[in-house]
Amino acid sequence: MSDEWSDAMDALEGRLARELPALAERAVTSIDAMAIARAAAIAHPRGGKGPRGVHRFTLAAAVLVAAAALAGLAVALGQPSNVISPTPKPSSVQKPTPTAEVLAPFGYGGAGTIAFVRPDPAVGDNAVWLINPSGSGEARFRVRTDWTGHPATFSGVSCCAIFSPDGKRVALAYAQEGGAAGPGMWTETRILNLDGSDYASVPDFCGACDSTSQLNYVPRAWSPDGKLLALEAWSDADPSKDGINVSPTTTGNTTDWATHVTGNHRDVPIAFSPDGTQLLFVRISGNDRNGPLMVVDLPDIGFSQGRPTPGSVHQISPDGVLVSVSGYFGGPASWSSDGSRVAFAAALASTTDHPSRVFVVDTNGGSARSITSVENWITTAQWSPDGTWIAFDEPSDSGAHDLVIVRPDGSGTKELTTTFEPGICCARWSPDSHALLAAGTVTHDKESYLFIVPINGDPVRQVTTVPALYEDFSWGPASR
Amino acid sequence: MDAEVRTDVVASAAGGDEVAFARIVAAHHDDMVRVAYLVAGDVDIAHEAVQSAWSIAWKKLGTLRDPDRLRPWLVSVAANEARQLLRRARRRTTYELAIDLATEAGTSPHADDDAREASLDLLAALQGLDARDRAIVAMRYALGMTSAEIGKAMRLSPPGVRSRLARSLDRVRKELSDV
Repeated sequence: MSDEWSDAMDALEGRLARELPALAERAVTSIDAMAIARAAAIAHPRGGKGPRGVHRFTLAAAVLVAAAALAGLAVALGQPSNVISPTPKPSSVQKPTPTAEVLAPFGYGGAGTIAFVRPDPAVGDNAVWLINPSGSGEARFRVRTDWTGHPATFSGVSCCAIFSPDGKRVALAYAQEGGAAGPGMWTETRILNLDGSDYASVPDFCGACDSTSQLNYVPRAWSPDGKLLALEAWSDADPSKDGINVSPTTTGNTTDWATHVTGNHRDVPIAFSPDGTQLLFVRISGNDRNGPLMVVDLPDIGFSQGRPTPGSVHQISPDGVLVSVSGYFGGPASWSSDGSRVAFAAALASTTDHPSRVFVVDTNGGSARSITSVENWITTAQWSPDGTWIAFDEPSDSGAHDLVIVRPDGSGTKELTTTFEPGICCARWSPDSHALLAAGTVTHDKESYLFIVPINGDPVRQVTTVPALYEDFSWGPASR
Repeated sequence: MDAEVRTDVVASAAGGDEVAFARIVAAHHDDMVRVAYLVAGDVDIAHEAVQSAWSIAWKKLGTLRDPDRLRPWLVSVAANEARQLLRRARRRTTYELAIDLATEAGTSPHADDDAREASLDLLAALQGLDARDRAIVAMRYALGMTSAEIGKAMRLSPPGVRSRLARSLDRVRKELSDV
């Protein structure tokens, strides 16, 4: 070898040693090591950290479980870096910078009130917020007076706000530390008016659920008449108590304040049928927050004549597919307005890329019919309140997600957000069926905002301005 | 982490202790990102690769018999994930990656334009290497790992590492001389 070659190699080695560390440094960002560890542990539980332990510790964990399980979509949406991505999907194209038009505060606004979950620095964890569809009046949900008659707030984590059918009441869950049963987090459900007044516990006398029932309760669905709440319930001490509880939303009935509708399964309620006689739910297992879609009949539900007898339970999703439930991804299934059919998004259980479809199935029997092509990571299937459309999400060419609507028979597919970059996902309908509420990212800052997407092609309207991970958002018909 | 603590921490993390695992994350995350970035040439892919690597690490930490191999193992997992992600980005060609690098270099706070351009040349030349060789170069020059450590990470003997490094550097030198 010549001296010239050796000199050149020495010089190159010197350059690499000087410049590569600096070049590599540009990719380094600050991290939350505990959050990464926590997410990894939740995604791949072991060592006795079972599902009940996870949910007992934090409501936010439930979101992380699903987020980690569906990480391809999470990546596309700009999920914070503390979520592990088992099957990440890198972007294949350079995404454009958001335009002023996307961010401009115009377009369809609609009426009513929007609820969402977002971290609150004052709490140090997730909290429930309300905002008007116009983007005005954003405020953390506070209790005007608690059950003792004193002004109060939810001091710990709160989540999972759902509106009553008339939109005037909200049910939410919050976790608080400690209790008669000992240390740890306990999750309870409260209902209250939009202004924070008329605070009540559900089930009644559940002001200390840990001492009365040793169950955690998270509200998931209101009955169409507003008189009942379907609660996801589980016991950290006794799994035989797991199941869906249906409880009256009015106080005063202390005898049959709940009925153990399903029992001995970790079931997550999705929605009552429009006539209130059936309840749609997902039977999850382990930490994956997914499972088959089921229906339980509620033939004689009522609380004036003693404890009702649960009806039959049957599966309506095909074998071999899973339906995922999480606060982040939102409604995976929904009823048609006449209650005769259910639309749901489901993924093949045997693969890691989650090839998914939207299905429609008759609830009185028959096989599920696919109304979309196979796409990875379809997460939501939301039937519009007027029954004319089904909204879902599908991955775009860039790896992010777009919102799509389709007629219930699979015709008339209409992509609503093809120009929205990087991605938007997991829509809920406006009460008037004219628009969708969804979480979207407009930059690569790994944060999202809430947007209103009119289905008639009018401009997208940005609702929130605080970058964050938005979960459990919903749109009620009543204004504050 | 010193060796004694490291052994305990790895054992605890392998047993399911999330706090111990978080200590490992804090200690090694940045190095994994550095190598993943130099392998992939893309910040987003690098971060996705490392997130995926942590998921793998949590699952498989118990299979790590020698705590001294922790750092090489983690870095190699991140590099491997970066390689796989890069492969999955089917439409992303080497040329496009070079464009990305140019864009990123153009927006970085380099004080000196000549130095920036030189760094860009260096990165572009590295893109001509096989992804596995890029990982070896990154481990050696960005992290300062020894040939023995790189060998543990890449399942090569130390002489094998040195041989591949020499071959890679020769190729980079030729690339740079062609610019």
